[in-house]
Amino acid sequence: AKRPKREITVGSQVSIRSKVHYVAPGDVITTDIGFMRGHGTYLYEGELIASVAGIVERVNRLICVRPLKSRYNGEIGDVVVGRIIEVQQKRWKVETNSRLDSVLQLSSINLPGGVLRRRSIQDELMIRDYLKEGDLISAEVQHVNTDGSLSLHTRSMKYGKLTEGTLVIVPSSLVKRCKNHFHNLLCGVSIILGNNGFVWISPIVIDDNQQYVLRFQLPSAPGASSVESNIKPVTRDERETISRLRNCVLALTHQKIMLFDTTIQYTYDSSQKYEVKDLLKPEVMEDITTSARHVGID
Amino acid sequence: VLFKMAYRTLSDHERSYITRGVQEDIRADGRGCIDYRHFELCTGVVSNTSGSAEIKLERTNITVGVKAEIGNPLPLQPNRGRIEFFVDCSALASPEFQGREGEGLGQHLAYRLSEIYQNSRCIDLESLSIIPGQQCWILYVDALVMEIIFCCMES
Repeated sequence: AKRPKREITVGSQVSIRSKVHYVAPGDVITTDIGFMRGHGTYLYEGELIASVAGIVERVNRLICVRPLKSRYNGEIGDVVVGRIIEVQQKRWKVETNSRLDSVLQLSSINLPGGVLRRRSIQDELMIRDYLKEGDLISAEVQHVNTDGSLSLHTRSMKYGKLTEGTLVIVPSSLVKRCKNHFHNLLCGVSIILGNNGFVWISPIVIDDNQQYVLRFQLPSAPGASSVESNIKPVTRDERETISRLRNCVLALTHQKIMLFDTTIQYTYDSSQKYEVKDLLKPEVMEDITTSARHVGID
Repeated sequence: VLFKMAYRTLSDHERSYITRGVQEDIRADGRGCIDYRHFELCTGVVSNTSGSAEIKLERTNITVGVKAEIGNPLPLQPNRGRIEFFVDCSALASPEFQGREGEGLGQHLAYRLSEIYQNSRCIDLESLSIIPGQQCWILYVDALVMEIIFCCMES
């Protein structure tokens, strides 16, 4: 088959501010064979061809293609939102939309009773009382193992088990890497933009002290559900705001715009003139994301 | 026939958030309990049928064609016409439908549809009768499920 003739000479003009080079599978990246082949490329008849759809990245003599849509690749320090899928003896397996399940050790969480408490056999037996299958947590990537799986930790007040709210799953490449991923928006709702594409929207828990108590709160009686604890119920207005924000996030995803607090705030403000349920229509999605589009292009 | 369309575990808190929301008539995406999702409906898509339609409901895509033929009515119901349903869950609809796996769901849906349409308030089967006891119209309704995420029955 004839290959497309669009060739890109990767030379000295490639800098941070230069044009972005998009390739599709089968596109020729370069015919210069002096380059090392990175991920997403292969050599065929003396030409370097892209095997995935994405952006060409060049580091000195290494060329690779970063795919636009792929599983989440974790890096140390990333904030992730994950779901517990397995409870093992001293650790939990967490689903973070990456190639391998992530691991959360029992020693990596904050237990009630102080940060420096030793983990005892008692803790191992009660492991399901802390976190069981299906629970959602926010955590930070502590360490990337040799096989690529992530080790998580929740050793900070802002991480821990997530209570009432909604989860939205978006492609991980659309979540912009920022200094802060926990945002308390002006509308009274807090949003956690996990780097892995899991976005958690929930009402703001006002008291910081109270927030610590709610995380990992052990049930009052053995076997009792931890849901009936003293969390104040979500009001109808808060639910509407949460649903509106959820639909805004989905609209931004649909229009392939990067997600960070500015784009979400702009989209939320533009969406005020519509009803929450109308935000699911494609033409409305286009309309509310126009102002965010200009910010998100960078 | 138990068929798990989308299986996802939920935490207790998420579950209670959703159920309490439904009690207040507000679902997770802001719709009320009786509000529809956005869907697109096109008619006249298949050329060699009497009538056809295609519905797209958020990544669930179903094409339906209706052909009318003349035949014999059922002996027990000589005054009414007939509707025959056939649902084909094609293999490209979902990874679970590889090979012949989709036949079970297809037969189940066809059976449910024929049960529903037996009720004369849905469609007036007596109007399909030509000569009572001898000839009637038979409507063959064929549904092809091209892509499925959920709400097959609803679509």
